[in-house]
Amino acid sequence: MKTRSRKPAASKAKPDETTKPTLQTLEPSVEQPPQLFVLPKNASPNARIITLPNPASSTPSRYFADPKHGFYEFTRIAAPKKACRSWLLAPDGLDEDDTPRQTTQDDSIQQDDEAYVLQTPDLFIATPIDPLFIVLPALWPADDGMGRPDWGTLHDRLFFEPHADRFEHLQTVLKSSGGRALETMIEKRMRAVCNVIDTGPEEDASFTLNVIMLAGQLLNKALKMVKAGLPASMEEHFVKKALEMPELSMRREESSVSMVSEDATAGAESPGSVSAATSQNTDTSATSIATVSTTATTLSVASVNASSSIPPAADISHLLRLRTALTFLLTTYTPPALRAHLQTIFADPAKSPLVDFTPLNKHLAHIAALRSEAQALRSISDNISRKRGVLDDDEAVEKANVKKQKKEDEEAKKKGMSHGVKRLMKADTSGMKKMSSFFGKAAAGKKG
Amino acid sequence: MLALDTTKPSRKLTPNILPCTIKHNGPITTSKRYWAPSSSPSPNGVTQHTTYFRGRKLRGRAIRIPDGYQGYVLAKTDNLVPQKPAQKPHAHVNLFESEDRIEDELDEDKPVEVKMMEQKGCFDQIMVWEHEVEPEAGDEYIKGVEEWVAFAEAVCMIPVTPVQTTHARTHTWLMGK
Repeated sequence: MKTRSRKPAASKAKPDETTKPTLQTLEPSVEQPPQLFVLPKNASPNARIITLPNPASSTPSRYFADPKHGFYEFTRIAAPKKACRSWLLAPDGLDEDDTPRQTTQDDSIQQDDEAYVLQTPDLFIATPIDPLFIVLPALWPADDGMGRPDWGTLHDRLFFEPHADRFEHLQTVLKSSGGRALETMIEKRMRAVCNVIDTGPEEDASFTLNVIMLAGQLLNKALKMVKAGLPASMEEHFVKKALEMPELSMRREESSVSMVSEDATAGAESPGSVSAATSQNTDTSATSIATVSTTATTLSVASVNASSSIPPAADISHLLRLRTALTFLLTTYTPPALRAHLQTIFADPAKSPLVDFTPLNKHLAHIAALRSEAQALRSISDNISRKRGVLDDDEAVEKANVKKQKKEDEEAKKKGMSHGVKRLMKADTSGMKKMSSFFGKAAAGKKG
Repeated sequence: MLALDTTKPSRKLTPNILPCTIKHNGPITTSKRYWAPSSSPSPNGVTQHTTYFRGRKLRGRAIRIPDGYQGYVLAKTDNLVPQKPAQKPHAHVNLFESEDRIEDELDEDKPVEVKMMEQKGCFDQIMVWEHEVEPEAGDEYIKGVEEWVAFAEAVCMIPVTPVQTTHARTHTWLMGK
């Protein structure tokens, strides 16, 4: 104890003297640390990082405009705050996995052993963005509030608009060398979503946004996204989970065997028989509900009747993927007011003959209904199973009863025994005389 | 507005995501003694990256920058880029020519200043390090670089030739409208 109490006092004075000289002093942090970017290769020297209103949120955001490659948006990749991460920019030549070393190792290391440390682990990735989305804020609203379409050239829209300040950077870029290429890019894309009046080869065309054409473009994009495959995380979250059939307990399916056969025949009779996979799916789930409640029976009948309109599962998931992609496009690239407008267009099959989400909606409603049923069931069956585990079988119940009886009997017996006997039960009495023999003899001796 | 100087050749770096926070920004000197990642082929053919950082074992995963892209380390500077005189406004024939000219003059009065981004280095791949285990595919950086770039290209590449059947259908439908 003594040494302990003394030590801190001694060491308190020491570190100041001893460690300070050896401590390598770091220069204070740089005020504007460099940042890491991933940009298109061979960017033109005229490429600029510009600030433009975000098409969805209309907050100023950074974009990369390159006359050679087009427009790019920046995505910031950062670790979640609680994950501790930082950059260490190490000079190359330290990892030699597949790149053959051209220079001698010693040279390169001695030359640049200077590395860089950055506290914030951000990485900005430039990904291509359709120029269409960049001018979308300038194209919407498409009319002047009185129902008349708002016509204007690209130049008018970007330069003379009431809020033209927000396009200040774009204006500058369009005027600089290389701006012509960017302007053609934007105009080309505007032609895809706008009604155009060409006033002559010498003059700029006038544009007004056609929402239906925009919807068509978005749908095309969504189709392409689905074709290329949604990112794994998106697929998992929005498609797989949404289409998951609720699990019903095994017991219920067993008990509904008779119903299954009934429904199977009904399904076979209905004109448009469904592909094997889905019919199995819908049948089992529907019938298992049919046993549960009467309201559900109507549901199963309905689904069988409508079997011709239930497309195979592949089609459903395709539709769902398409809708996920569309939602993604709408939320990331369209202004809120326009988004609502577009959503009504996509939701209304009459307005968008290209895509009809009704089968998907039906299917999702069906799944939701099943899910809520299953939820209700599960809460009931959970309670049952927790309270009485093996009450299912009559035999099992009987056995359990017999066992219980035996146990109770034994317990009653035990209670009836005296304390002494209970204790003796633990001792080995095999070599001992019976307790009663003592009393008997003693009594006999007295008598005798 | 920012311009970047990507023309001059710069030295190659390997950015490493370390599984710890370093409360410092700035240049440091590394020596092989303190930072020496090594890679060795593991039995299943995947190269294993290992390093030791302050006595802790780190396992790493290399992320290649996708084709057509290049990583840059850029630092903002206060150097202004000399504005080139605006090219003769590209064939901008307006009905109100005089007004147009006035507007142009007005715009030239207040050019947006363009600052130069200095290139500190470039990279082809980044390394993500994790304590003891190799970072999994769900890591933000791996997902961001590998998944997101490909996805964004699928989304936003401008259709070059409308050859798809769906596309043709759109057109007929639009014509019908």
